[in-house]
Amino acid sequence: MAIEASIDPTALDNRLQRAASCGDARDLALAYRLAADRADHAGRTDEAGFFLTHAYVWALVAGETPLAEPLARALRHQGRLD
Amino acid sequence: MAVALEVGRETAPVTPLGNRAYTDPAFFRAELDRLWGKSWVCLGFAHEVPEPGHVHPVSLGGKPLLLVRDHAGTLRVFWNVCRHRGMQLVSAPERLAGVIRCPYHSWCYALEGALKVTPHVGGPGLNIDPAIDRAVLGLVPVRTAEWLGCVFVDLSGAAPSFAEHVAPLARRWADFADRPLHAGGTDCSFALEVGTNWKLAVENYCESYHLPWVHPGLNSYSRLEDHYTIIEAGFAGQGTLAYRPLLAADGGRLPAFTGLPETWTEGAEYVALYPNLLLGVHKDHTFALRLEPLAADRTREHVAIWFADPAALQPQHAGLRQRLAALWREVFEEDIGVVEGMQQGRHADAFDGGVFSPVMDAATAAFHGWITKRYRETGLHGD
Repeated sequence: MAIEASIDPTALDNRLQRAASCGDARDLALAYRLAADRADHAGRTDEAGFFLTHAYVWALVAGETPLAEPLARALRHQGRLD
Repeated sequence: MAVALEVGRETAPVTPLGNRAYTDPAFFRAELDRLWGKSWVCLGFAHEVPEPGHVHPVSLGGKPLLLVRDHAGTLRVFWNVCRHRGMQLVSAPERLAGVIRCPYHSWCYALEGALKVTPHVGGPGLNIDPAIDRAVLGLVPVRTAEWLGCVFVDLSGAAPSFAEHVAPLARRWADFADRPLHAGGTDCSFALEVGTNWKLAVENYCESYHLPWVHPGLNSYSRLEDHYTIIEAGFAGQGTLAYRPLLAADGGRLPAFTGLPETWTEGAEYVALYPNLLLGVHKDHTFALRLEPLAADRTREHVAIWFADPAALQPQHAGLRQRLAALWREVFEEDIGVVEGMQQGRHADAFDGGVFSPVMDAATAAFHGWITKRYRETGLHGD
């Protein structure tokens, strides 16, 4: 997965809140994927797994298979999904 | 079209149901479990989930169920409950792009029922746990069938086949049963909440005896003598020999089914398919009134109308469609007073179930005969 460590945490938080308030599942998936990338880059593996899980759930809700499949692969690779 | 006049004289005597079968909340609950829970019952209409992804929560006597049109277009019914902690999954009709997500802990189910993901179930970020076997925790399906635009379920999974259940009426209405029907949409759907036991709605619908008194507007063209009684296995009702379609100001009318036998030119039939579906067929439209039992003394009536030809859904027929829906609404609203009045009457200690006219109440008696037999089979006593 691409690492986007440069994203501003406040901007990310705002994006997550905006997507949540709109019920925009695809945007939530993308925002959580960014959060996962950021945590992963900082070496916070468990936090990354947490966000990756949320990204996967919202990608499934959005019905975005091309978005969901790489997330599922990443989770499986980390032993977080079978 | 078979005509069964005075058929009641040929049937075994039926003892009318006693008051308790209409008024006792405990009896109502037992009836839901033992009769509704073990029979094919109508749960909804197929057009309530018209496109892939549509989900429509439905209550059947308080039991939460979910109509689903999966992404391949198959209509399914599941128990509307998460396998995890029993949370109701869907609370309002919607169209889903992807999975069904439980709003509690976000367990997600495919529209085909498979449990897709159990987020954080093994701890934060860990979505697996040896104790949680997703393969056996999919949504619980309900045995489902679709006929005349209506969705039926057998909660027990053990009732005779739906084909067997509906066969007598399917034979009688073979002229209609295999044709595509075209749902009239929101202006042809409505619901009424009525202060009565569901059985009184069935009984009132079955018979034509009340028509000249409760629906005086019918007297000018649909006289009592134009009606006949219908009694067969699993349904009862009435027919008319004097159906007149609505006409527009310019003489236009809704398109009719093509190739119908002549008997339907001025004929129409109205039957209750036991226990809870009141149906009507005419040469240009069909309708269904689904009874949803809310309590011993409360019933919601869901009405939908279907047309013979998709042309009927075009804007030039909007006026006729709306008049037709208004006509049926008026008829069903006229019935509210009597079914609510009979419900009140069943709190009278002096009422012993009443009597049946062998001629005019034969269909009602047939329904009592059917339900008494079902009660007996399930250990209920309705007297």
